[in-house]
Amino acid sequence: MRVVHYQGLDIPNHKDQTRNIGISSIPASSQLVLPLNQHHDTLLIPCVIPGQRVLAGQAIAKPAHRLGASLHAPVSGLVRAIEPCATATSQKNTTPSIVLSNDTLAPSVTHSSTTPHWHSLSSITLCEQLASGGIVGLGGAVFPVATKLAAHTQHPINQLIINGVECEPYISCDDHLMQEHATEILQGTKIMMHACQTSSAIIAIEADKPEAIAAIGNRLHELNDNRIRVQVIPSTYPSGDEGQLIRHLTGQEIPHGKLPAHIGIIVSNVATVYASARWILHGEPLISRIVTVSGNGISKPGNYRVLLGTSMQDVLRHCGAVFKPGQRLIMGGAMMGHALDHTGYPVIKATNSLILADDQELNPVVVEQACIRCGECAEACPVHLLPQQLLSHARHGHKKALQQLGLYDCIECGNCDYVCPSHIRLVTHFRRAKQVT
Amino acid sequence: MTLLTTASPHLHRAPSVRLIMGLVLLALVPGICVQVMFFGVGLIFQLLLAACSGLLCEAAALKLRHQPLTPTITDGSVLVTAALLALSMPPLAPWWLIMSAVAFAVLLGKHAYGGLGFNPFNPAMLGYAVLLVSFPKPMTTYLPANTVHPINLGWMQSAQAIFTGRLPEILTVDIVSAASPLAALKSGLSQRQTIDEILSQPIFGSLGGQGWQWVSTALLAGGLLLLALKIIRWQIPVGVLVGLSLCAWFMHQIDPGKHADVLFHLFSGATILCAFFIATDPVTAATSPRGRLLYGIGIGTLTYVIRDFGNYHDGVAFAVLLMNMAAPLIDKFTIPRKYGEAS
Repeated sequence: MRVVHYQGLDIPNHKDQTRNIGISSIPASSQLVLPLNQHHDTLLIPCVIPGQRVLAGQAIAKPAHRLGASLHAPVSGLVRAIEPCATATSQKNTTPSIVLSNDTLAPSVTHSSTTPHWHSLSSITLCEQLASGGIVGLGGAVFPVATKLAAHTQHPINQLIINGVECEPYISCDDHLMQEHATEILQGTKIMMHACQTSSAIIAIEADKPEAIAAIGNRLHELNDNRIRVQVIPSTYPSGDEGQLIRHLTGQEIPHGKLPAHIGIIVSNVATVYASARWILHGEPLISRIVTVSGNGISKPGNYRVLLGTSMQDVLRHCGAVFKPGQRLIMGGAMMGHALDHTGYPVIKATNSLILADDQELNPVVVEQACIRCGECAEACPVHLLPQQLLSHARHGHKKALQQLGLYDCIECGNCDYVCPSHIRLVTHFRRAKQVT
Repeated sequence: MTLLTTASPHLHRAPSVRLIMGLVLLALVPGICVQVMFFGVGLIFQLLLAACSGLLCEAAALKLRHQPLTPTITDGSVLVTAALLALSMPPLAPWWLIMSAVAFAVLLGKHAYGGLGFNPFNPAMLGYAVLLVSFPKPMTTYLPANTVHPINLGWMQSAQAIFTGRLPEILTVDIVSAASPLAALKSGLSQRQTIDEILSQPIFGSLGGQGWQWVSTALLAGGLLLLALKIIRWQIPVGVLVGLSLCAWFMHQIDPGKHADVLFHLFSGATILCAFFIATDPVTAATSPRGRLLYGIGIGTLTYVIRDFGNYHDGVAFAVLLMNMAAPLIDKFTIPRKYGEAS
């Protein structure tokens, strides 16, 4: 085991606004927009045509390869159009999207294909089954879960890690999912263990979520399955990052340029595990997700179950958003989330959180001062880069030096910005440098 | 309805550069007080002269460089440079000496390279070294501590000495030429006296020079405060002290009659000031933890080498400047192991 003296940062978590509010649903909008670039890889291929009637839960777009993930109609209704729309992940460009009108008539979900005998399926068939349910990583990376789990055919997996750390400030959707749906999370864990052929799973939860730890722990006790255990993680940022979590739990590091599967580990978010259980055991594909809506611009903050394709405008209206000049609307957490330029984007599988807040709560952007090379950024960096050195090479465009110093190892967690006494937007400089080099 | 689209992260909390510099100045206060107690109010004049000329030079440089005055002039860095220079000067040194040192430090040491963050050399030590080479006599003329000779120069007498160069009648040539501890050590050794003979002179105390040993102790307290507040990290101070101590210990073991012991070196001259306040200037130091340790050890070692084998009494300024030159190279060879990289 490697001895690494890295503790992470103690960042105010801003979770109190939503921590004690249970999950409730937001009514379906009259029109839903479903972008075809949901899954962080090639565009999905639509399998419906404009004018076609669809049922809730019906697949409306298929992945380019069999271990991708499908997209399903969240409501029953009419395919209005397949046209370019703006999405939150690519605000500058438009993406082909399926526009669906909601006829509010049909049942909420068609329970088409439950798989109660998943134990008896081969692991690869189970992976394909998860792909057809549209299951992707819901922690934010939206990587198709089938592709990830199928890595066991090349690299034997000896450890599955279920990530319930949720270290990003503001977000509490996973916390509430664990509190309210511990049973499904444990069922999903077992399904995933079978799909990646491993006999050991750790459910990692941050220490600041005692209710979630208790809920999962109690259910696990009833289940009496000694292959699964809960591990409490110190609440520091970014302890929930995949690489950091693996190092904390196993003492191993993901080798440079490799995937966790290369060292026999797969990490999956609790929401992904939950979605897997809903699909395999209840036949409910991934058509909704839990979104934390929070920030001082929201009068009814909380965790809401939102159908994919719902306009953020509708979500914000339902949550009593009060718009004022100088606010930011952030999709994702306060450390790594994107600030959106308007509220009209649809909720996608990657939307774990919407924060509407102003500078009284978030920190205003102030003028950058000169770097005094104090080295605080290097102390705070979870991957042990030297941000102050990277900055000077980024400013001078020294491509080779940037590569040597590990520009591409930067996970953009934002710690360096957070601690910089000169208020330098280091991550912004690094993102720009990554695009250029 | 417009939304701000600033890049992540959206949270930020760090002490500002101004706060960091302010705390460094605060940590110097105990040392300043003790020096005034033992050596008179001359230091107060030096501090005021240094601060005023520092701010003037910074303003002039910013004007010439077509840069806005704020926030640069209020970041406090020029005041730290000024304070370090004032503490390095003899308390009754003539006014033009400290002013030229500060001007050199701020104009050529800092702004000629592009201002704070871009200067390769520690500005204060650059200013000090230039003056030491150019005006060795006034730069090394010290009064003994008032516990050795009961002389207490008041505000008027100190001002007179600094601004006109005239010393009060009571100060005989003998007293004025009473050297600083390190200078007395050097001249004693050149007269073939042993360490014990030299250290039995009245200007020496149990640790270092009378008075100076307590100044060093007070500076050490301030330095430890900076460490506790995490304004500075431990690698450089420890490196400097360990580098110097190891050399001093080794040479003292070889011939205790010719080489002073570890404590004397630690508490004499600018050792403590250097370890906690000068060498820790992050702009001109090595940057990785391992690099900083090497950098500190280099300064400690060079300081000893210059003190023991060189012509100068104290080697701090030259040692710092030499290691400033080496810092980029140290950085190049001490890049930390990145996550996921084979060790």
